Amino acid sequence: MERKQKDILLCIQCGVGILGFGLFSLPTAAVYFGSNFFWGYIALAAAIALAGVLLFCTVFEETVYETCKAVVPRHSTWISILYAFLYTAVTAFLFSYYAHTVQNWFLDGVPRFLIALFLAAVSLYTAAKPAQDSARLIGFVGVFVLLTVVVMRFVMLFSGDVRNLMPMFEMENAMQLPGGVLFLSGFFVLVGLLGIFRMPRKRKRRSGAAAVVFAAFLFILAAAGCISVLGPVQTAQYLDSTVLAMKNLNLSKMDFLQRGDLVFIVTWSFLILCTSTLSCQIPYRTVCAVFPHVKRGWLYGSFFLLYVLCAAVVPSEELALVLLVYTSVGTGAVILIILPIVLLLVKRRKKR
Amino acid sequence: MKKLLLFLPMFFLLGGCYPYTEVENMDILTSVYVDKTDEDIRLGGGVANVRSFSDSMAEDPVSLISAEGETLENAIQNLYQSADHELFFGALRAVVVGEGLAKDGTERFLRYLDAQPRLRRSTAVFVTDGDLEEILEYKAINDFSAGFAADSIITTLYEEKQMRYTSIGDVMYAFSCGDAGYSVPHITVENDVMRVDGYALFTGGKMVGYTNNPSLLFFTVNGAVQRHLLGATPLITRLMTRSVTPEVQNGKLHIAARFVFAAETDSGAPVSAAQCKALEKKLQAQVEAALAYSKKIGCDYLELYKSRMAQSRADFDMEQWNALLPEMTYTVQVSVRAR
Repeated sequence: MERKQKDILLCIQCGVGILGFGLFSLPTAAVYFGSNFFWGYIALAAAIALAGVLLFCTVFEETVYETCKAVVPRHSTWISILYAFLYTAVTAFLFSYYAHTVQNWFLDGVPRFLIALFLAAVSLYTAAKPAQDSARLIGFVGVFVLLTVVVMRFVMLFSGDVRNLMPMFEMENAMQLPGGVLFLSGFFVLVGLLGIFRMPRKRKRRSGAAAVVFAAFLFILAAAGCISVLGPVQTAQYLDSTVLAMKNLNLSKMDFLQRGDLVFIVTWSFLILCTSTLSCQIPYRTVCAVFPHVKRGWLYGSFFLLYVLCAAVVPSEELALVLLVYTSVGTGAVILIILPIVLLLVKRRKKR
Repeated sequence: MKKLLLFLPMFFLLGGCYPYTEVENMDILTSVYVDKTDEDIRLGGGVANVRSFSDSMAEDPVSLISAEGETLENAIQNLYQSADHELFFGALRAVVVGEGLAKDGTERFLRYLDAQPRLRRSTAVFVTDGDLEEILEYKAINDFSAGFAADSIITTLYEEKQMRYTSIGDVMYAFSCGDAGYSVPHITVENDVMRVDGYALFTGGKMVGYTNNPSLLFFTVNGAVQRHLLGATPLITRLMTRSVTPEVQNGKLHIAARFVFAAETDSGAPVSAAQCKALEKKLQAQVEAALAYSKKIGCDYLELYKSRMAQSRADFDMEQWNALLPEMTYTVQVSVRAR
């Protein structure tokens, strides 16, 4: 019974990470590449990522530093620092993107660095807590977040015009298949990483696979909701197509969802906090493993300053998103995704 | 103590404490109007007079602000300069466009509104040929202002499936599909009564026609309802199923439309076969008239393009859809069943 409960908790954590990373921009990217064949792009990307994530399950028995030590002991420190640095950059740009979107849509009077200050303080505080504590917190909040998000997507889907989803496939939509699927699968691999990071060994495969499959379902639903309301052209054009689609809904006409806007804002805030907490953990733990004697307070303060500074310095939401994509699924994927795979292969060969 | 310090930043975010704007220090727009005369663009709106809620020396609930300019940019600039406080678009209930600007093109103005971060995209859009300020000054009976009244009227009719509701989001959707056609409710105030008397028809953001043919709803609203008077018997028809199939062959467009209606009476009395037959004939004529008008003015206000896009977006992108309309042929099949 306890084991079953923990599995559910892990899946909820994965789901929250997935949503927070991609809910606002992934429908735009999927529809930009695949138009009405978005579902095929997402499903294909998830299938490719599934293989990658299962591969990662073996890599992340420990942190990258520990794997490095087993494979290339001489270079383990700088490789790990590079890895932690890049993941820190990804997280910093994520903070910046979140700070911009929160400011643009809800708190336009509040300075961006204050929003980032709040996000970084809560996220790092939770991330520094023992794994079980943060897992429980995110799991608890996550149930509310996931349920609301799924309900809202169904409302969007049926409030719009489902004819917009037709035809489901045209040859023209498959023109950008390799580039689009690779881009999206890079995202899914990162999501799978969030799902399996620091999980007990036996559960990694299950939770990693569950994260990717669940992500595929949620994003097909989210993109379908956006297309139903906005049509494929607008969904591909606007950066935050999910928020824009919500603005199209006349919630006052829906008796059961009169204050859906408030629910949306609350859910969104929770989602952002949970995701930033999850993404803080990887660089934080990696640096802790490389420099075990560094005072945690200094480490904590450095990350804090870096995240807030990045959020304050990056001038626009578009630039923050471009930098986030560039460092995670763009060029940065060489270190974040390909490097651990190479390490795994070398480690396996050494074992044989 | 450390924990307390960590959560201190939260206080900055509570309820927009910083930098807040008191509601009295905002000009809350409930409606916006815009029109074009021979020389100028006229722009204005109804601003909620928040003091009148609490003040027993009751002022009008809405004050009007207006501005003029040679260009849209000038008019907008002048409107901001004529406002007492910062303009707030988040409570906007209606956008009323005069026929002068509607015929000249509404796209730039609506895109300007859409770019306002607080604006709800579900805000209703109307067209009128009447005096815009008269409409804005309309004393609503049960509503707060003309903007709210117009929104309430169209919302009620839409919920009863008797009228089409066109929002800024709907218009933006049409813009995203190139020169796609769309319809906007046309309002008027006559004898102190505000009512929707038909639809202004648009292609590519410009008004190209007007219709009060109710069969527009059969193409655009699921479950559309229409009231009839056959002899002395009031009847209601409700759209049950709709099938619109466009076919493009050799550059010629053919529309095959099929509608099934259910007929009933208010009293619950049965509807006879003869009445169904008469209704079929009437509805068939209505639908054919709507298609004929679409063909005549070359405007796809019946949104046939949505059915075409659902068949093949790639083909639709290649076709000059509006150029196909004047040569369009159609077959209409209407059947009415007693409920």
